[in-house]
Amino acid sequence: MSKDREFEQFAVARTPQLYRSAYLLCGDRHRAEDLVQETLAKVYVKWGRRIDNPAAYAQTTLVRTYISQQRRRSSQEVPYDDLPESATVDPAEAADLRMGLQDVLDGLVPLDRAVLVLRYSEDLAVAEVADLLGLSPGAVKNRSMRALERARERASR
Amino acid sequence: MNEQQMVALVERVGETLEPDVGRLVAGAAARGRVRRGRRRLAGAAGAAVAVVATATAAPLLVVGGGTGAGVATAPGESPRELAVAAGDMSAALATLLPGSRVVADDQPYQFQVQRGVVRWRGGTVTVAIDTRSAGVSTPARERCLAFAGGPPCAAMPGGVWLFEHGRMEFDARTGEEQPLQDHVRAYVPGGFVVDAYDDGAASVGRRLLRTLALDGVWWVARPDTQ
Repeated sequence: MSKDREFEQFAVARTPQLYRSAYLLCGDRHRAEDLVQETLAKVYVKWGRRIDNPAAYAQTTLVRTYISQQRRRSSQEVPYDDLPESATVDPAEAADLRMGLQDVLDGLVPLDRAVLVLRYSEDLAVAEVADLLGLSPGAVKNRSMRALERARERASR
Repeated sequence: MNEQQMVALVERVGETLEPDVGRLVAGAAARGRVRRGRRRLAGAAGAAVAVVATATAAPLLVVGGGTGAGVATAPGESPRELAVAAGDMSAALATLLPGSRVVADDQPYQFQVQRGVVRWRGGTVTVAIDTRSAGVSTPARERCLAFAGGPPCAAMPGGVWLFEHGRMEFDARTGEEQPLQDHVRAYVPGGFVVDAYDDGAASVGRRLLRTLALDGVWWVARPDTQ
């Protein structure tokens, strides 16, 4: 099987997961799509060499690309937009859910947001999140607690 | 909000997201090819400098010596094999230029030349692969030098030799020459010639034209071209 074909199969399998993470990180479907494509393009360049665990590599690349992009952005706005309709969830309810989550996540700094997404969406252990983000496990716990506290405050408004 | 509530909220939101996987993957692969092309070019720039530095000290090794058809392939060259059919050229080119769209090819027909034409950034971009000399063993370097007449030819990885030039237009108002059209031509082992050019309106630039002419999408993948 050619490397391009192998990459395509990998990308097709991983894109839904990456897209979910990307959306939770940036809160906008267009930026999420761009983030996923940028991530997979980076994986494509390295495909077939120096990647022991492509899925983990893609996840790491996604988060680091997001944080890097956030640093470059002068504004921190989080635009809202309609998302693709779901066959399993009522569109109005889905929109409410997403708005609710954005309300909760809005205002968190990118690193805190990444910690929450990795811990509670990707279900990674504290040590794994620490390794991925280049933080100490203690820092991950602190950021996680602080982010949840802020989320609680925003949710109660 | 506690951890359980956050997990539940994130999971429920995740269930509502359904990305267009096919479109995302196609776009990602196109971006990846462009990135890979840029990296190859960055490496090729160093290789070209090395060739220029050594060319005066040691003549290029050509098995059998001499010039013209019938000369064996030079060391380091291995013939390419086309991977894109004539009818798929435009679609393949479109994957290399995100945001482009395939348009009808209204350029004069050329026998055994397959072209891809797309509209991009307000202009037309074309990649044409000339297969008329496919199979000849004349080294790509010699074919390039025969066309360009000498120094402008530059060595690229994989035995490819590149020649590029721009057509200039005299502006009577300013009295200066303005770039009208860029053209990059790659002589590829195996007798192929790849031309990449724009119509002057797309502002593609020679750098990107080089990437298009040298991209691996046109050829059957080999271990040494990955």
